[in-house]
Amino acid sequence: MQFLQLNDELQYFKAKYEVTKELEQIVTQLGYTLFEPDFFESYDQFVQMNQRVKTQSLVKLLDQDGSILVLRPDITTSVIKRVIPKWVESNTLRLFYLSTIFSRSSVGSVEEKKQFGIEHLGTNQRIADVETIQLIISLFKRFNLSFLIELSNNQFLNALMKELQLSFTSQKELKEILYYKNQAALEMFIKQTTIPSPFIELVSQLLHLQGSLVEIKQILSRYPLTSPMQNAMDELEVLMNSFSIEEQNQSIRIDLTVLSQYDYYDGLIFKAYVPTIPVPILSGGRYDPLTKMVGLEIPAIGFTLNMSDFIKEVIQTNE
Amino acid sequence: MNKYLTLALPKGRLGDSALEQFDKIGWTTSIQKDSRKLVFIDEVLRIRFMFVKPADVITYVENGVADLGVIGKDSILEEEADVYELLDFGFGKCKFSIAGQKNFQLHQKDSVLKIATKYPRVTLKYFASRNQSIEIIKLNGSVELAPLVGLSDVIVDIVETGGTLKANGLEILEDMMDISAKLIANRVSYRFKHDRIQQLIQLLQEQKEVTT
Repeated sequence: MQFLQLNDELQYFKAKYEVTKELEQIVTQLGYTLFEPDFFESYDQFVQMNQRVKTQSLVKLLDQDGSILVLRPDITTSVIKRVIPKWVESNTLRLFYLSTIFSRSSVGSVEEKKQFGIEHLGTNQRIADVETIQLIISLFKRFNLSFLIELSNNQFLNALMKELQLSFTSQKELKEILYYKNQAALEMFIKQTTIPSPFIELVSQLLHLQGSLVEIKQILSRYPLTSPMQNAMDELEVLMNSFSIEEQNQSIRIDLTVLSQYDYYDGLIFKAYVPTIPVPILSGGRYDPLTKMVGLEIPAIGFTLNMSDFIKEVIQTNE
Repeated sequence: MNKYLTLALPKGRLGDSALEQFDKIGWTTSIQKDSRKLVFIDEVLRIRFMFVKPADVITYVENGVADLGVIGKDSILEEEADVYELLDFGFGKCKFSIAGQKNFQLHQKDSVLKIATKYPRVTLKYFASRNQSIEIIKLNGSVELAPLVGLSDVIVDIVETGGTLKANGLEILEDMMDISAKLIANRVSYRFKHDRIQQLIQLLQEQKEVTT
């Protein structure tokens, strides 16, 4: 943020300090403890753990011995890398962080982004999923923000993709179509690709699989679902039933075609929006497979909140 | 809260065709055709039309100032816009093509192909996908001139009828992809105004089916 007057800048710092303090208070009361991530990561290790990350957006440095380091581009990787090797069985951990991440913009400058987030490890999946979404709702409500959470269980889409037996390029194409919600291209795709006949109708309806749980279930009842697809829906239903009707109607939208940038998400994934910020303000999901990569698979879920956007929105709403 | 549905329309031919569609579904009562005003507000339907330069439609939508926009697929591809593409209007149909002088060989063993274009990103991506090395010369208009005066070997441009090419002694060497006008939406607006946007899509689609 840029300010012309020192006074405005100090006012902003004050507001920022208060919002941050409040957020910390909410999560510490729930048993979350502060975690301080490393500043540097090994380039090789980071890229191996995050294979789809755009390497040109990483801020690289050269260490004394010639090895390449990156200025931390993400916090979850850092947490997992340090926590899992010291993991004690049947442990549960609730961590939160307030740190800056770094990336290189397309014009080459280094950009910093302040993030607040939590990682919840070791707790049974169902319990942790509900707790995480509840926490998100309470954060927004605490500051009187209007918001919407968009969520999905990506095991549904993954299971369907498996049934379609698409080639690597077709799969990528279909994912791109879904990402842009391009119905015209989807119809074209169905015409040009061999899709197993029981699933053609369902694929053509994919972009309509959003809204409330009831609406989605109604559409899905017309199509044959495999058991992994059904399981994904059942899990989603259990999760949704743990929220009040009011919360379901006002704050949550399901969208089964939500795609995440990272491959390691498996299960619940979500994003949250506020009306005046044109990009997601919060995102996260379940990432058990990532913990497996560093040696031990445990239940893990987390989210990150973009702090500068959040503070901007809080100041605007409460002005 | 901002309850208007805001649409960014491009000034010019594409915008006029879009207005025809909105006219048919009865959404344009607030618009005075010959006025030079840039914003029209319909208080009854709670919609707001903004008329902007075609090249700026995506900027307005990506930043959420407009919820929806009408723009050609060519601009979406070139800007690599992160917006939803909700509807294909079916007008503004043309193609991305490679054009040059008759019988020009696109594949040459020993030289880098020089291409003049207004669409450097689309061109780079296309040729990268087939591993051909090229040199791009960015122009802002009258691209057809480039091969005639030796500025480039070929051009990449959008072609509707091919008239301009023909008049300048060029012809299409290869078609790259089809393009047409799209209804685009900001990702956040799409969530918050989902019902209204869905309603609009349905109206436009029904209209399309009636006419075809």
